[in-house]
Amino acid sequence: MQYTFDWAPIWTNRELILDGLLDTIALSSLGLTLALVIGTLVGTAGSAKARLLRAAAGTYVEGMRNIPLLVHMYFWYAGLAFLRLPPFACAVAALALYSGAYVAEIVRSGIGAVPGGQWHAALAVGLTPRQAFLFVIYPQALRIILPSLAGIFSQLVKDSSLASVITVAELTYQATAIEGQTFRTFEIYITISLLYLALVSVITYGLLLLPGARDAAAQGLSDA
Amino acid sequence: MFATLRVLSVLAAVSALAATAIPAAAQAPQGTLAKIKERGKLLAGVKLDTPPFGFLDDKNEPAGFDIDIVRKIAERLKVPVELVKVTSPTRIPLLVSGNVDLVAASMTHTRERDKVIDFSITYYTGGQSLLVPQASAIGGVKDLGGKQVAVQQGTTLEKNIAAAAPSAKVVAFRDYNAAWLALVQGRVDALTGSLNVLQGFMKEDPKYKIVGDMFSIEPFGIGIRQNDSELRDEVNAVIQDLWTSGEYATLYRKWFNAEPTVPIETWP
Repeated sequence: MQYTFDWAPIWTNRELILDGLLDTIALSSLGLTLALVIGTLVGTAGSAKARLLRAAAGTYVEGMRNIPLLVHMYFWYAGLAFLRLPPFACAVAALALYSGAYVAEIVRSGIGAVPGGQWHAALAVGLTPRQAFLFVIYPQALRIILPSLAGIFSQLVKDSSLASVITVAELTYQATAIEGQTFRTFEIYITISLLYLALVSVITYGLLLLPGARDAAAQGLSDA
Repeated sequence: MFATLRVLSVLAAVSALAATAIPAAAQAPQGTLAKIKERGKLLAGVKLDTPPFGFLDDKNEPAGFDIDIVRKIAERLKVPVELVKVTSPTRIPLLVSGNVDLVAASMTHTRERDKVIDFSITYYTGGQSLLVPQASAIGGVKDLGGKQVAVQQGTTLEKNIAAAAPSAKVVAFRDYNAAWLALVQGRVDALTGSLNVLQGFMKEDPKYKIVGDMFSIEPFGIGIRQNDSELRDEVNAVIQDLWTSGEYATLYRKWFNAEPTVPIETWP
Protein backbone atom coordinates (compact mmCIF):
# COMPACT_ATOMS: atom_id res chain seq x y z
CA MET A 1 0.00 0.00 0.00
CA GLN A 2 1.42 3.32 -1.05
CA TYR A 3 0.35 5.62 1.69
CA THR A 4 2.14 8.10 3.88
CA PHE A 5 0.52 8.84 7.19
CA ASP A 6 0.25 12.49 8.08
CA TRP A 7 -1.23 13.44 11.41
CA ALA A 8 -0.96 17.19 11.04
CA PRO A 9 -4.52 17.59 9.64
CA ILE A 10 -5.83 15.80 12.75
CA TRP A 11 -4.06 18.26 15.02
CA THR A 12 -5.33 21.17 12.93
CA ASN A 13 -8.87 19.93 13.46
CA ARG A 14 -8.46 19.20 17.16
CA GLU A 15 -11.19 21.63 18.15
CA LEU A 16 -13.77 19.82 16.05
CA ILE A 17 -12.66 16.48 17.49
CA LEU A 18 -12.84 17.82 21.04
CA ASP A 19 -16.31 19.26 20.36
CA GLY A 20 -17.37 15.90 19.03
CA LEU A 21 -15.95 14.09 22.04
CA LEU A 22 -17.78 16.40 24.44
CA ASP A 23 -20.98 15.86 22.49
CA THR A 24 -20.50 12.11 22.65
CA ILE A 25 -19.96 12.33 26.41
CA ALA A 26 -23.05 14.50 26.88
CA LEU A 27 -25.16 12.24 24.67
CA SER A 28 -23.93 9.07 26.36
CA SER A 29 -24.34 10.33 29.92
CA LEU A 30 -27.87 11.60 29.28
CA GLY A 31 -28.73 8.38 27.47
CA LEU A 32 -27.21 6.33 30.30
CA THR A 33 -29.08 8.15 33.04
CA LEU A 34 -32.43 7.86 31.29
CA ALA A 35 -31.78 4.24 30.31
CA LEU A 36 -31.08 3.46 33.96
CA VAL A 37 -34.32 5.11 35.08
CA ILE A 38 -36.36 3.36 32.38
CA GLY A 39 -34.55 0.08 32.98
CA THR A 40 -35.12 0.15 36.73
CA LEU A 41 -38.83 0.91 36.37
CA VAL A 42 -39.44 -1.62 33.61
CA GLY A 43 -37.17 -4.23 35.18
CA THR A 44 -38.98 -3.92 38.51
CA ALA A 45 -42.32 -4.21 36.73
CA GLY A 46 -40.99 -7.26 34.93
CA SER A 47 -40.21 -9.01 38.18
CA ALA A 48 -43.55 -8.12 39.75
CA LYS A 49 -46.11 -10.72 40.75
CA ALA A 50 -48.95 -8.98 38.87
CA ARG A 51 -49.32 -10.58 35.45
CA LEU A 52 -50.39 -7.34 33.76
CA LEU A 53 -47.24 -5.51 34.91
CA ARG A 54 -45.05 -8.36 33.72
CA ALA A 55 -46.79 -8.44 30.34
CA ALA A 56 -46.42 -4.66 29.92
CA ALA A 57 -42.72 -4.83 30.78
CA GLY A 58 -42.21 -7.78 28.43
CA THR A 59 -43.94 -5.97 25.57
CA TYR A 60 -41.78 -2.90 26.10
CA VAL A 61 -38.56 -4.90 26.19
CA GLU A 62 -39.33 -6.95 23.09
CA GLY A 63 -40.68 -3.97 21.18
CA MET A 64 -37.67 -1.78 21.83
CA ARG A 65 -34.96 -4.40 21.70
CA ASN A 66 -36.05 -6.02 18.47
CA ILE A 67 -35.90 -2.89 16.37
CA PRO A 68 -32.46 -1.70 15.18
CA LEU A 69 -31.20 1.39 16.97
CA LEU A 70 -30.65 3.10 13.62
CA VAL A 71 -34.38 2.80 12.94
CA HIS A 72 -35.11 4.24 16.39
CA MET A 73 -32.96 7.24 15.44
CA TYR A 74 -34.74 7.76 12.15
CA PHE A 75 -38.13 7.29 13.82
CA TRP A 76 -37.59 10.19 16.21
CA TYR A 77 -35.85 12.44 13.71
CA ALA A 78 -37.59 11.80 10.39
CA GLY A 79 -40.69 9.81 11.38
CA LEU A 80 -41.78 12.39 13.92
CA ALA A 81 -40.38 15.32 11.96
CA PHE A 82 -43.55 17.33 12.56
CA LEU A 83 -42.65 17.53 16.26
CA ARG A 84 -39.48 19.44 15.30
CA LEU A 85 -37.50 17.81 18.12
CA PRO A 86 -33.87 18.93 18.08
CA PRO A 87 -31.57 16.17 16.74
CA PHE A 88 -29.82 15.85 20.08
CA ALA A 89 -33.12 15.16 21.88
CA CYS A 90 -34.07 12.61 19.22
CA ALA A 91 -30.78 10.79 19.75
CA VAL A 92 -31.14 10.81 23.55
CA ALA A 93 -34.69 9.46 23.29
CA ALA A 94 -33.65 6.71 20.87
CA LEU A 95 -30.63 5.69 22.94
CA ALA A 96 -32.49 5.76 26.27
CA LEU A 97 -35.53 3.80 25.10
CA TYR A 98 -33.45 1.23 23.24
CA SER A 99 -30.78 0.67 25.90
CA GLY A 100 -33.43 0.96 28.62
CA ALA A 101 -34.89 -2.32 27.37
CA TYR A 102 -31.54 -4.07 27.85
CA VAL A 103 -31.06 -2.50 31.28
CA ALA A 104 -34.59 -3.65 32.20
CA GLU A 105 -33.73 -7.28 31.49
CA ILE A 106 -30.56 -6.99 33.54
CA VAL A 107 -32.38 -5.34 36.44
CA ARG A 108 -35.06 -8.04 36.29
CA SER A 109 -32.47 -10.79 36.45
CA GLY A 110 -30.68 -8.96 39.28
CA ILE A 111 -33.84 -8.72 41.34
CA GLY A 112 -34.53 -12.37 40.61
CA ALA A 113 -31.06 -13.27 41.85
CA VAL A 114 -31.64 -11.75 45.28
CA PRO A 115 -32.89 -14.67 47.41
CA GLY A 116 -36.61 -14.50 48.17
CA GLY A 117 -35.88 -14.79 51.89
CA GLN A 118 -34.40 -11.29 51.84
CA TRP A 119 -37.72 -9.88 50.72
CA HIS A 120 -39.73 -11.78 53.32
CA ALA A 121 -37.26 -10.87 56.05
CA ALA A 122 -37.43 -7.19 55.07
CA LEU A 123 -41.21 -7.21 55.34
CA ALA A 124 -41.03 -9.19 58.58
CA VAL A 125 -38.93 -6.51 60.27
CA GLY A 126 -41.61 -3.99 59.38
CA LEU A 127 -40.29 -2.34 56.21
CA THR A 128 -42.91 -1.24 53.70
CA PRO A 129 -42.60 -2.91 50.26
CA ARG A 130 -41.10 0.32 48.93
CA GLN A 131 -38.50 0.47 51.68
CA ALA A 132 -37.77 -3.21 51.17
CA PHE A 133 -36.96 -2.50 47.51
CA LEU A 134 -34.91 0.61 48.23
CA PHE A 135 -32.87 -0.64 51.18
CA VAL A 136 -32.76 -4.39 50.75
CA ILE A 137 -33.44 -5.59 47.20
CA TYR A 138 -31.94 -2.86 44.96
CA PRO A 139 -28.57 -2.53 46.76
CA GLN A 140 -28.00 -6.27 46.57
CA ALA A 141 -29.26 -6.53 43.01
CA LEU A 142 -27.02 -3.65 41.97
CA ARG A 143 -23.91 -5.50 43.12
CA ILE A 144 -24.93 -8.57 41.19
CA ILE A 145 -25.65 -6.74 37.95
CA LEU A 146 -22.80 -4.21 37.91
CA PRO A 147 -20.59 -6.17 35.51
CA SER A 148 -23.51 -6.64 33.10
CA LEU A 149 -24.42 -2.96 33.42
CA ALA A 150 -20.86 -2.00 32.59
CA GLY A 151 -21.24 -4.03 29.40
CA ILE A 152 -24.45 -2.25 28.43
CA PHE A 153 -22.93 1.14 29.21
CA SER A 154 -19.93 0.55 26.99
CA GLN A 155 -22.34 -0.60 24.29
CA LEU A 156 -24.33 2.59 24.68
CA VAL A 157 -21.28 4.82 24.26
CA LYS A 158 -20.43 3.09 21.00
CA ASP A 159 -24.07 3.08 19.91
CA SER A 160 -24.16 6.85 20.31
CA SER A 161 -22.12 7.05 17.09
CA LEU A 162 -25.31 6.23 15.19
CA ALA A 163 -26.60 9.68 16.15
CA SER A 164 -24.26 11.02 13.48
CA VAL A 165 -26.80 10.08 10.80
CA ILE A 166 -29.36 12.45 12.27
CA THR A 167 -26.86 15.34 12.31
CA VAL A 168 -25.88 15.22 15.98
CA ALA A 169 -22.36 16.65 15.93
CA GLU A 170 -20.77 13.89 18.03
CA LEU A 171 -17.40 12.23 17.48
CA THR A 172 -18.28 10.09 14.45
CA TYR A 173 -20.06 13.00 12.78
CA GLN A 174 -17.00 15.22 13.16
CA ALA A 175 -14.80 12.41 11.85
CA THR A 176 -16.90 12.20 8.69
CA ALA A 177 -16.68 15.96 8.26
CA ILE A 178 -12.91 16.06 8.76
CA GLU A 179 -12.44 13.05 6.47
CA GLY A 180 -14.33 14.86 3.74
CA GLN A 181 -12.22 18.00 3.95
CA THR A 182 -8.82 16.36 4.32
CA PHE A 183 -9.24 12.85 2.80
CA ARG A 184 -7.17 11.62 5.79
CA THR A 185 -9.48 8.63 6.28
CA PHE A 186 -7.05 6.35 8.12
CA GLU A 187 -5.76 9.00 10.49
CA ILE A 188 -9.13 10.36 11.55
CA TYR A 189 -10.78 6.98 12.10
CA ILE A 190 -7.77 5.71 14.04
CA THR A 191 -7.97 8.84 16.19
CA ILE A 192 -11.64 8.49 17.05
CA SER A 193 -11.26 4.74 17.63
CA LEU A 194 -8.66 5.49 20.29
CA LEU A 195 -10.93 8.13 21.82
CA TYR A 196 -13.86 5.70 21.98
CA LEU A 197 -11.57 3.07 23.45
CA ALA A 198 -10.40 5.46 26.15
CA LEU A 199 -13.91 6.67 26.92
CA VAL A 200 -15.39 3.18 27.19
CA SER A 201 -12.47 1.96 29.31
CA VAL A 202 -12.92 4.82 31.74
CA ILE A 203 -16.62 4.06 32.12
CA THR A 204 -16.21 0.29 32.44
CA TYR A 205 -13.37 0.43 34.95
CA GLY A 206 -14.95 3.37 36.74
CA LEU A 207 -18.08 1.31 37.41
CA LEU A 208 -16.05 -1.59 38.73
CA LEU A 209 -14.39 0.76 41.22
CA LEU A 210 -17.72 1.15 43.00
CA PRO A 211 -17.49 -0.41 46.46
CA GLY A 212 -18.35 -4.08 46.42
CA ALA A 213 -18.57 -4.34 42.65
CA ARG A 214 -15.76 -6.85 42.37
CA ASP A 215 -16.87 -9.23 45.10
CA ALA A 216 -20.48 -9.64 43.95
CA ALA A 217 -19.99 -13.34 43.41
CA ALA A 218 -18.34 -13.86 46.76
CA GLN A 219 -21.15 -12.44 48.85
CA GLY A 220 -22.58 -15.85 49.51
CA LEU A 221 -26.18 -14.68 49.68
CA SER A 222 -28.44 -17.43 50.72
CA ASP A 223 -31.96 -18.04 51.76
CA ALA A 224 -30.83 -19.23 55.15
CA MET B 1 -12.15 -34.76 14.53
CA PHE B 2 -14.33 -32.87 12.08
CA ALA B 3 -14.03 -29.77 14.21
CA THR B 4 -10.24 -29.98 14.06
CA LEU B 5 -10.33 -30.45 10.31
CA ARG B 6 -12.55 -27.45 9.91
CA VAL B 7 -10.28 -25.29 12.05
CA LEU B 8 -7.31 -26.47 10.04
CA SER B 9 -8.96 -25.71 6.71
CA VAL B 10 -9.95 -22.24 7.92
CA LEU B 11 -6.38 -21.65 9.03
CA ALA B 12 -5.12 -22.84 5.67
CA ALA B 13 -7.53 -20.53 3.86
CA VAL B 14 -6.51 -17.58 6.00
CA SER B 15 -2.82 -18.19 5.46
CA ALA B 16 -3.39 -18.62 1.73
CA LEU B 17 -5.18 -15.27 1.69
CA ALA B 18 -2.36 -13.65 3.62
CA ALA B 19 0.16 -15.17 1.23
CA THR B 20 -1.63 -13.75 -1.82
CA ALA B 21 -2.05 -10.39 -0.17
CA ILE B 22 1.62 -9.85 0.51
CA PRO B 23 2.97 -10.20 -3.05
CA ALA B 24 0.20 -7.91 -4.26
CA ALA B 25 1.38 -5.25 -1.86
CA ALA B 26 5.01 -5.86 -2.77
CA GLN B 27 4.20 -5.31 -6.44
CA ALA B 28 2.93 -1.81 -5.77
CA PRO B 29 5.71 -0.09 -7.74
CA GLN B 30 4.47 -1.83 -10.91
CA GLY B 31 2.43 0.68 -12.87
CA THR B 32 -1.33 0.63 -12.43
CA LEU B 33 -1.70 0.76 -16.19
CA ALA B 34 0.19 -2.53 -16.62
CA LYS B 35 -1.83 -4.03 -13.78
CA ILE B 36 -5.12 -3.04 -15.42
CA LYS B 37 -4.04 -4.67 -18.71
CA GLU B 38 -2.86 -7.78 -16.91
CA ARG B 39 -6.07 -8.06 -14.92
CA GLY B 40 -8.13 -7.39 -18.03
CA LYS B 41 -10.44 -4.87 -16.40
CA LEU B 42 -10.54 -1.40 -14.94
CA LEU B 43 -11.72 -1.18 -11.33
CA ALA B 44 -13.46 2.17 -10.95
CA GLY B 45 -14.76 3.49 -7.64
CA VAL B 46 -18.02 5.38 -8.09
CA LYS B 47 -20.64 6.86 -5.80
CA LEU B 48 -24.22 5.80 -6.32
CA ASP B 49 -25.98 8.34 -4.12
CA THR B 50 -25.30 11.54 -6.03
CA PRO B 51 -27.57 12.02 -9.04
CA PRO B 52 -26.90 13.00 -11.78
CA PHE B 53 -23.21 12.10 -11.29
CA GLY B 54 -23.61 8.60 -9.97
CA PHE B 55 -26.84 6.83 -9.04
CA LEU B 56 -28.97 3.77 -9.71
CA ASP B 57 -31.41 4.28 -12.58
CA ASP B 58 -34.95 2.88 -13.04
CA LYS B 59 -33.52 -0.52 -13.90
CA ASN B 60 -31.31 -0.43 -10.80
CA GLU B 61 -28.22 -0.06 -12.97
CA PRO B 62 -25.45 2.44 -12.15
CA ALA B 63 -25.80 5.53 -14.31
CA GLY B 64 -24.67 9.14 -14.39
CA PHE B 65 -22.10 11.59 -15.69
CA ASP B 66 -19.22 10.14 -13.67
CA ILE B 67 -20.15 6.60 -14.73
CA ASP B 68 -20.14 7.59 -18.42
CA ILE B 69 -16.72 9.24 -18.07
CA VAL B 70 -15.35 6.11 -16.42
CA ARG B 71 -16.75 3.96 -19.24
CA LYS B 72 -14.94 6.19 -21.76
CA ILE B 73 -11.68 5.73 -19.86
CA ALA B 74 -12.11 1.94 -19.94
CA GLU B 75 -12.85 2.16 -23.67
CA ARG B 76 -9.57 3.92 -24.28
CA LEU B 77 -7.67 1.38 -22.20
CA LYS B 78 -9.47 -1.34 -24.20
CA VAL B 79 -10.63 -3.21 -21.11
CA PRO B 80 -14.08 -3.73 -19.59
CA VAL B 81 -14.90 -1.69 -16.51
CA GLU B 82 -15.99 -3.00 -13.15
CA LEU B 83 -17.82 -0.39 -11.10
CA VAL B 84 -17.09 -0.56 -7.38
CA LYS B 85 -19.45 1.33 -5.12
CA VAL B 86 -17.59 3.65 -2.76
CA THR B 87 -18.73 5.96 0.02
CA SER B 88 -16.98 8.88 1.69
CA PRO B 89 -15.29 6.76 4.39
CA THR B 90 -14.22 4.04 1.94
CA ARG B 91 -13.04 5.85 -1.20
CA ILE B 92 -9.53 6.76 -0.01
CA PRO B 93 -8.73 3.41 1.69
CA LEU B 94 -9.97 1.51 -1.39
CA LEU B 95 -7.88 3.67 -3.69
CA VAL B 96 -4.61 3.68 -1.77
CA SER B 97 -4.83 -0.05 -1.04
CA GLY B 98 -5.23 -0.79 -4.74
CA ASN B 99 -8.75 -2.21 -4.57
CA VAL B 100 -9.79 0.32 -7.18
CA ASP B 101 -7.65 1.97 -9.87
CA LEU B 102 -9.37 5.32 -9.79
CA VAL B 103 -12.27 7.07 -8.10
CA ALA B 104 -14.81 9.15 -10.00
CA ALA B 105 -17.13 10.34 -7.26
CA SER B 106 -18.03 14.00 -7.86
CA MET B 107 -14.96 15.01 -5.87
CA THR B 108 -13.92 18.63 -5.76
CA HIS B 109 -10.19 19.01 -6.25
CA THR B 110 -8.63 20.90 -3.35
CA ARG B 111 -5.01 21.44 -2.35
CA GLU B 112 -5.62 19.82 0.99
CA ARG B 113 -7.05 16.67 -0.63
CA ASP B 114 -4.28 16.68 -3.21
CA LYS B 115 -1.79 15.88 -0.46
CA VAL B 116 -3.39 12.45 -0.09
CA ILE B 117 -4.17 11.40 -3.66
CA ASP B 118 -3.61 12.73 -7.17
CA PHE B 119 -6.33 14.23 -9.32
CA SER B 120 -6.97 14.35 -13.06
CA ILE B 121 -7.55 17.67 -14.77
CA THR B 122 -10.92 19.25 -14.05
CA TYR B 123 -13.58 17.25 -15.88
CA TYR B 124 -16.51 19.25 -14.62
CA THR B 125 -16.87 22.65 -13.03
CA GLY B 126 -19.75 23.04 -10.65
CA GLY B 127 -21.09 26.04 -8.82
CA GLN B 128 -22.82 26.14 -5.50
CA SER B 129 -26.33 27.48 -5.16
CA LEU B 130 -29.35 27.53 -2.86
CA LEU B 131 -32.65 25.69 -3.10
CA VAL B 132 -35.58 27.05 -1.06
CA PRO B 133 -39.36 26.55 -0.96
CA GLN B 134 -41.31 28.71 -3.46
CA ALA B 135 -42.85 30.74 -0.64
CA SER B 136 -39.52 31.43 1.08
CA ALA B 137 -38.28 34.99 1.54
CA ILE B 138 -34.67 33.87 1.12
CA GLY B 139 -33.25 35.43 -2.04
CA GLY B 140 -29.59 34.50 -1.69
CA VAL B 141 -26.83 33.74 0.78
CA LYS B 142 -27.16 37.21 2.31
CA ASP B 143 -30.62 36.31 3.70
CA LEU B 144 -29.43 33.21 5.52
CA GLY B 145 -28.68 34.86 8.88
CA GLY B 146 -30.02 32.64 11.67
CA LYS B 147 -31.53 30.25 9.13
CA GLN B 148 -30.85 26.52 8.91
CA VAL B 149 -29.13 25.34 5.76
CA ALA B 150 -28.81 21.67 4.84
CA VAL B 151 -25.67 20.46 3.10
CA GLN B 152 -23.92 17.19 2.30
CA GLN B 153 -21.40 16.33 5.00
CA GLY B 154 -17.65 16.36 4.48
CA THR B 155 -17.86 18.27 1.23
CA THR B 156 -16.29 21.47 0.06
CA LEU B 157 -19.88 22.71 -0.13
CA GLU B 158 -20.01 22.54 3.66
CA LYS B 159 -16.93 24.71 3.99
CA ASN B 160 -18.12 27.17 1.33
CA ILE B 161 -21.53 27.78 2.86
CA ALA B 162 -19.99 28.35 6.29
CA ALA B 163 -17.73 30.98 4.71
CA ALA B 164 -20.41 32.58 2.50
CA ALA B 165 -23.04 32.78 5.25
CA PRO B 166 -21.23 32.84 8.60
CA SER B 167 -24.40 33.61 10.59
CA ALA B 168 -26.37 30.71 9.10
CA LYS B 169 -26.72 27.43 10.97
CA VAL B 170 -25.24 24.76 8.73
CA VAL B 171 -26.72 21.28 9.22
CA ALA B 172 -24.70 18.58 7.47
CA PHE B 173 -26.30 15.34 6.29
CA ARG B 174 -24.75 12.08 5.19
CA ASP B 175 -25.95 12.46 1.60
CA TYR B 176 -28.00 14.71 -0.65
CA ASN B 177 -31.14 12.64 -0.23
CA ALA B 178 -31.17 13.07 3.54
CA ALA B 179 -30.55 16.80 3.16
CA TRP B 180 -33.34 17.04 0.60
CA LEU B 181 -35.70 15.14 2.93
CA ALA B 182 -34.91 17.63 5.71
CA LEU B 183 -35.87 20.50 3.40
CA VAL B 184 -39.10 18.79 2.35
CA GLN B 185 -39.99 18.09 5.99
CA GLY B 186 -39.34 21.71 6.85
CA ARG B 187 -36.54 20.90 9.27
CA VAL B 188 -34.26 23.33 7.43
CA ASP B 189 -34.91 26.56 5.56
CA ALA B 190 -32.67 25.95 2.56
CA LEU B 191 -30.60 23.30 0.85
CA THR B 192 -27.24 24.16 -0.64
CA GLY B 193 -25.35 22.11 -3.16
CA SER B 194 -24.05 21.91 -6.70
CA LEU B 195 -26.35 23.77 -9.06
CA ASN B 196 -26.82 20.72 -11.29
CA VAL B 197 -27.77 18.52 -8.38
CA LEU B 198 -30.25 21.10 -7.07
CA GLN B 199 -31.80 21.34 -10.53
CA GLY B 200 -32.36 17.59 -10.35
CA PHE B 201 -34.26 17.95 -7.08
CA MET B 202 -36.24 20.91 -8.40
CA LYS B 203 -37.36 18.83 -11.37
CA GLU B 204 -38.67 16.26 -8.90
CA ASP B 205 -40.76 18.80 -7.03
CA PRO B 206 -41.65 22.20 -8.54
CA LYS B 207 -42.58 23.60 -5.12
CA TYR B 208 -38.95 24.63 -4.74
CA LYS B 209 -36.83 27.28 -6.46
CA ILE B 210 -33.14 28.04 -6.88
CA VAL B 211 -32.23 31.52 -5.66
CA GLY B 212 -29.25 33.87 -5.72
CA ASP B 213 -25.99 33.75 -7.62
CA MET B 214 -23.56 30.87 -7.50
CA PHE B 215 -21.14 31.54 -4.68
CA SER B 216 -18.35 29.07 -5.29
CA ILE B 217 -16.51 27.26 -8.06
CA GLU B 218 -16.14 23.51 -7.67
CA PRO B 219 -13.57 21.92 -9.97
CA PHE B 220 -14.21 18.15 -10.05
CA GLY B 221 -11.29 15.77 -10.56
CA ILE B 222 -10.94 12.02 -10.87
CA GLY B 223 -8.94 10.55 -7.99
CA ILE B 224 -5.83 8.54 -8.81
CA ARG B 225 -3.19 7.09 -6.53
CA GLN B 226 -0.32 9.38 -5.61
CA ASN B 227 2.53 9.18 -8.16
CA ASP B 228 0.44 7.17 -10.62
CA SER B 229 1.23 9.54 -13.47
CA GLU B 230 0.92 6.98 -16.29
CA LEU B 231 -2.73 6.35 -15.52
CA ARG B 232 -3.32 10.03 -14.85
CA ASP B 233 -1.97 10.92 -18.31
CA GLU B 234 -4.39 8.44 -19.88
CA VAL B 235 -7.34 9.79 -17.92
CA ASN B 236 -6.41 13.36 -18.80
CA ALA B 237 -6.16 12.40 -22.47
CA VAL B 238 -9.62 10.81 -22.37
CA ILE B 239 -11.16 13.93 -20.84
CA GLN B 240 -9.51 16.19 -23.40
CA ASP B 241 -10.47 13.94 -26.32
CA LEU B 242 -14.06 13.91 -25.12
CA TRP B 243 -14.03 17.70 -25.23
CA THR B 244 -12.45 17.98 -28.69
CA SER B 245 -14.67 15.36 -30.24
CA GLY B 246 -17.81 17.03 -28.90
CA GLU B 247 -18.81 13.93 -26.94
CA TYR B 248 -18.34 15.89 -23.74
CA ALA B 249 -21.08 18.34 -24.72
CA THR B 250 -23.37 15.42 -25.57
CA LEU B 251 -22.80 13.83 -22.17
CA TYR B 252 -23.25 17.20 -20.49
CA ARG B 253 -26.58 17.77 -22.24
CA LYS B 254 -27.66 14.22 -21.42
CA TRP B 255 -27.11 14.57 -17.70
CA PHE B 256 -27.46 18.29 -16.96
CA ASN B 257 -29.87 19.32 -19.69
CA ALA B 258 -27.66 22.31 -20.50
CA GLU B 259 -24.65 23.38 -22.58
CA PRO B 260 -21.26 23.15 -20.87
CA THR B 261 -20.30 26.59 -19.59
CA VAL B 262 -16.68 26.00 -18.61
CA PRO B 263 -14.39 24.55 -21.31
CA ILE B 264 -12.01 21.69 -20.52
CA GLU B 265 -8.33 22.61 -20.79
CA THR B 266 -6.78 20.81 -23.76
CA TRP B 267 -3.11 20.29 -24.45
CA PRO B 268 -1.82 20.28 -28.02
